[in-house]
Amino acid sequence: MQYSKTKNMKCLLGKYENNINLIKEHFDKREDLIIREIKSGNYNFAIVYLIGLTDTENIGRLVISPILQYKDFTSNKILKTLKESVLAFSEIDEESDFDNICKEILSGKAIVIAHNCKSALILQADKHKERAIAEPPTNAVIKGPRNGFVENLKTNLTSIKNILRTKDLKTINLTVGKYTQTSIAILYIKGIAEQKIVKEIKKRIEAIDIDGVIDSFYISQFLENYKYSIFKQVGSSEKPDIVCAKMLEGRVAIVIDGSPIVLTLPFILLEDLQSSNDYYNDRTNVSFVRILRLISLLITILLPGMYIAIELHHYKTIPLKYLITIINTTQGLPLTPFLEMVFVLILFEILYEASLRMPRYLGQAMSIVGALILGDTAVKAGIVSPPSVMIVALSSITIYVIPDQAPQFSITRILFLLAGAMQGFYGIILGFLFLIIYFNDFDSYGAPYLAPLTPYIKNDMKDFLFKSNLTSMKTRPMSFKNKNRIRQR
Amino acid sequence: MSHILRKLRYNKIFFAMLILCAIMLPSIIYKTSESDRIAITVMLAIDKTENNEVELSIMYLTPQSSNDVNKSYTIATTTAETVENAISEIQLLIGKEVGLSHTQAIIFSTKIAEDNPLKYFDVFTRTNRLTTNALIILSESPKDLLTTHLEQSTKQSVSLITILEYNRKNSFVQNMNLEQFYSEYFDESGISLVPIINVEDNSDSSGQEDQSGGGGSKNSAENNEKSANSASGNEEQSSSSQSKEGTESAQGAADKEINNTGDIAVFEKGKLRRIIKKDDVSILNLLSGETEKSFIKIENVTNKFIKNADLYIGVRKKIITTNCDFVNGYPVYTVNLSIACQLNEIIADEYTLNSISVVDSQIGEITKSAIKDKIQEDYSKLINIAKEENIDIFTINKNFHRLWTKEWADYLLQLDTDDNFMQKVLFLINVDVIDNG
Amino acid sequence: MKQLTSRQAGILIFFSVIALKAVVLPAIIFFLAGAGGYITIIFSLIFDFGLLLIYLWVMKNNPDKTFPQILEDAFGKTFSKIVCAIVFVYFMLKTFLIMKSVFNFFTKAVYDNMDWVYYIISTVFFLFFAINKPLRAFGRTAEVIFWIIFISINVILIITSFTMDLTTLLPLFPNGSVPIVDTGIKSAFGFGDYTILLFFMGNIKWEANTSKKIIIYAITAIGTIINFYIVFLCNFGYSVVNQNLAIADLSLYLDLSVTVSRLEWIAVFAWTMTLIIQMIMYAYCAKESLNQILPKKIQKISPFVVLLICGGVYLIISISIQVLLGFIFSYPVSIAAMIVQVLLPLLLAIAVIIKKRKENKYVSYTAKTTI
Repeated sequence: MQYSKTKNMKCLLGKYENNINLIKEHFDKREDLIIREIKSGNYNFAIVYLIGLTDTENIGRLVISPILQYKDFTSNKILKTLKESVLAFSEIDEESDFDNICKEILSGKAIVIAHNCKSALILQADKHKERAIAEPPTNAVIKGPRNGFVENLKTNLTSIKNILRTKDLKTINLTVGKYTQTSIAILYIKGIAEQKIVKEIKKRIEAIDIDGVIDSFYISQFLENYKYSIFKQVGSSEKPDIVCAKMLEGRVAIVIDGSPIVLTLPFILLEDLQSSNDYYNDRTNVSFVRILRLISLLITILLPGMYIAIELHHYKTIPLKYLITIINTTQGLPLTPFLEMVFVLILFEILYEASLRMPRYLGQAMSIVGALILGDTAVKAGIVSPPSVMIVALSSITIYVIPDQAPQFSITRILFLLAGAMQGFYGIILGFLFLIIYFNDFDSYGAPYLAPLTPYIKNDMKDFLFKSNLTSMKTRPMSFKNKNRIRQR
Repeated sequence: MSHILRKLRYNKIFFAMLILCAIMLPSIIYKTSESDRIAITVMLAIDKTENNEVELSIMYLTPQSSNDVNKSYTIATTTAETVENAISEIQLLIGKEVGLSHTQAIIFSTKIAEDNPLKYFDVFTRTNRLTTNALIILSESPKDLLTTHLEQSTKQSVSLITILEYNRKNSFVQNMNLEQFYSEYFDESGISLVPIINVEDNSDSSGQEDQSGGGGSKNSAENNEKSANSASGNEEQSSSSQSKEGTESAQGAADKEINNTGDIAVFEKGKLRRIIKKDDVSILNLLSGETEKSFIKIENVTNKFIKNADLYIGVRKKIITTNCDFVNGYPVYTVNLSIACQLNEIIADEYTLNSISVVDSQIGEITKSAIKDKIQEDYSKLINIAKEENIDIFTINKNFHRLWTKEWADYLLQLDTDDNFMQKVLFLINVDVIDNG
Repeated sequence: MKQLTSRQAGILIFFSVIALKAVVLPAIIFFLAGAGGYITIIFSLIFDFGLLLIYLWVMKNNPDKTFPQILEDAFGKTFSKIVCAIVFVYFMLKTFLIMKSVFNFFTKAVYDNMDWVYYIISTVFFLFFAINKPLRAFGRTAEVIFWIIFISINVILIITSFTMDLTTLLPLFPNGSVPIVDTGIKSAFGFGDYTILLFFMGNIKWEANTSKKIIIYAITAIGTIINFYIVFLCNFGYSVVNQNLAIADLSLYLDLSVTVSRLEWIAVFAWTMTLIIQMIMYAYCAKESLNQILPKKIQKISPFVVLLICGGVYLIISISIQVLLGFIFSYPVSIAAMIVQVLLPLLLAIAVIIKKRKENKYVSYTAKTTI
């Protein structure tokens, strides 16, 4: 079989049987491919679709039945007649490129091949079973919207468009993945988002040549500036209100079909210290909570290292009464302080991983067992000491005050533990400065990673630790590039 | 987390950290806690033996199964030529390094005081071992004080630390610490005031021993003998020897208790000049800005409520300013004292309803006048002691040298010897008493 | 692209002023000058401040040029390279001194035993990482930690100010002015804090109030240091010469050390970050000055050279800090340091003036020819 080639595209041929044979050849006896051939008068029609992906009820009711009933087809206006007078679909496209036609079949659309036509009609008859919109488990709020994204691109776009009802909301549609043909939508608000950032993101996504994209995380790795850094460089959210708020500040959103997590760029570390709750609550309370989060972050990364530094190198700094408690409780342990700490940390990490993978009906019982084994029994058995269990437990709890960066800070605290063990407070100070210098050399699409703390941006400090009233936040953040700075008059 | 571990593989910084860990970790993995190899010393006692050797006793922390602070200490004693040698000997004895970072007090004997204490403290300031500002205490028998403290704190009764903490906040005795001792040694006056805390034999309640010199009472000589015996024994570190020593000292210590005498020792340029008794010290404490509570005893007061009664007046607040002036070429040192007083106690043979009325417990004019007279009297008494023995207890030399350098230098030139500068200084005190301030 | 904002430059200047002066310098100055040592500090800081004004004037007139470029324009390339070589030696000595001071501080203050080999290895690794970063990274780091350090140093000063005896400051000039001037000369190497501005030239986003901001930070630093010296002297009196680690020992005077141990050292550790930032700055300045001397193709080796010298010298010549300080605070080295610290800004100022005159001549010549 040969394809006619016009404009470097593989096209449908003029003959009906050849077209059918083309499709059969391309799909290579695929079992779920249905070619429903019908005849109306002297004209042949074929409806091609995949079982499971297409709404067959609508095919029968809205395609086959109307075609069979219509008797006034003319040979030179078949497609036009079908579009305008016969088929009752709200969206019908015409396509002559054979590859595109096959893509549409694979994405669940129904194709109508008409008698001796060189183009085919594409009907939006795809049917995707998806879960209901619910509150995402990682972003629970007390006040504020609770709907989250789902795995369907269109539904997610609808959720965003429900909030941003403006003609300036622009979408760039792309497809990535040789075998998954995953649809990706880049959304931004024209007049607010910086065009250079949009172009850069589009360029990077178009350059992706990969077998398949299953989740948004695949795309985020291509969008990162620093490939080998463990720290997050692309923002993400499961909630439409958060994404829309970020877009209103000038960020660009990337929605990926099949993933409930929407990516946003540029990203700064401050984003993970904030929560959507902060914008739906009183500012005094919010300021207090943000300070707590920062303290929690410091506790998470520094506490185990400082404890081990004190035990191994700096007992001089502890007051006598606490020193007595530590000495009395650490007597006779089989492990050295460093090994003991590593042991408890690993146990907690195992507990965390196990709780993620555990079946739900076992979860509660096993978590109690895990906590008891670690907390009580291990101490009583003299394997570990109470202070180290307490330190690691506290550090492990505070890590989830910033859940999005939990794995990263988990690794960081191990590094600080090593630094504290090897060099004491000097090592911790070096490690802390190392981390800060490292962050300060980072940027995400022109946005400094630690903005607005450094470089100091006075305007953005209103939403840093001490949150100001919404009425006083009249300009958009200056931590990253955006246009049209005024957002409130 | 696995995606993070994947990224780490290709990271230069990761490899640098791997190299660092490879170099340093082997020594850290097997490193035990510092407190395991260091004997954390909370108190030191320094004495001088008859052979002019230094007898050093340390009270250090020993781990226990309970967290009771008071059950966690052991005493080790040794003698050597110098303090540094003694520390090395003790380290050999107990098998741990002596760590002075939590040392709360250094007790030294009158024998050390009569020699120059700086000789014995030099090791603490020259090395970085002592990182706290330890308090220094003078005692007739430092080791007995240490042992008694250990025994009493085990019984939850009065301990030395409790006394020192009380002193710091409330008492009529100033606490002296090592840094202050050094700084006062090197200033113009060179005067330091060190509290004296002794050990009193409970079974022998026939009054205080003579504390004005360095002698020892019979009991403390026995204690010294015991401690000398146990020092030569080299068996101080284990709990069995602790109980052995504990037994010895329990017999002694059970009959002993800590006696916060309230006396102070006056040092000038590191030499012990004089011991001032508690009664004479009370005026010093009144004039010190650091002591929060003072009291004044007035005898034989008669007013409309009371007759021939002794009054105990509590000083609740005080404002003290001092002035150094030169009048006609002679130095005048004036103390201006404003005190807010409260009548705390009346000791009388007869009481009237008015005298026991709390509402009417006011400092009347007669009482105020009596207070002023009493303060004046005590002040004069102390000045006389200072002048007689040429002890610059009010740091006149320092104050005038700093504030009136030229005039003071001229004044000193006039004198026959510099040491007599106290004689022609005029000491004045102005007291203002406020009732219930 | 300009790397530093004026605020960041000001903060780096602040750290530069306070870094070494609160460690080993106080004991030395009081040892040499007696109780009038604080007067030495005041005069030295004021003198240095005058040099700062010269630097700022030069930078204001040439906001986009680096210091080698300014020197090159006026005196030629060879002269500029010679000056860069001298600057390289100066900063190498400073880096070495600060490395030794940091080690001495940590060993004496908080460690019982700090292995100097491990110290050198970890410090060299860290420095290598840090000096390969652009100036912008240090500026931003300084901005992040500024308030931590400012608050911690002031907390220490405030809590120890209650035990001060202000009469210790009197009399002024207790031994005359000679010891004070002599100490000022001998301690010259401990000053010259504004020489790092040489490598800020051409890298600061110069705005109308940049000079003002830097001056405010410099004055704040000067005030903090003077306050520190006064509190230090007034607490310890004449035994101040015994306190080798001023900032760590300052809070010794509180009775709290007996009951709460040295918990306030956490504030001291926050302050030690200035020392480490300063170490990075000096090593960075040494690297940059070496870059000016070396041809472009081999400039990549300059971090290795700097760190090899520091680490290697440290390992080979394990001299005690007392010997090092004796060398650095001796007359020859001090006078050489003073010459570098004073001559450099003057040279730059002269270069600017020469350049301006050349430009004026050119303008008047072109004006003449057009007429």
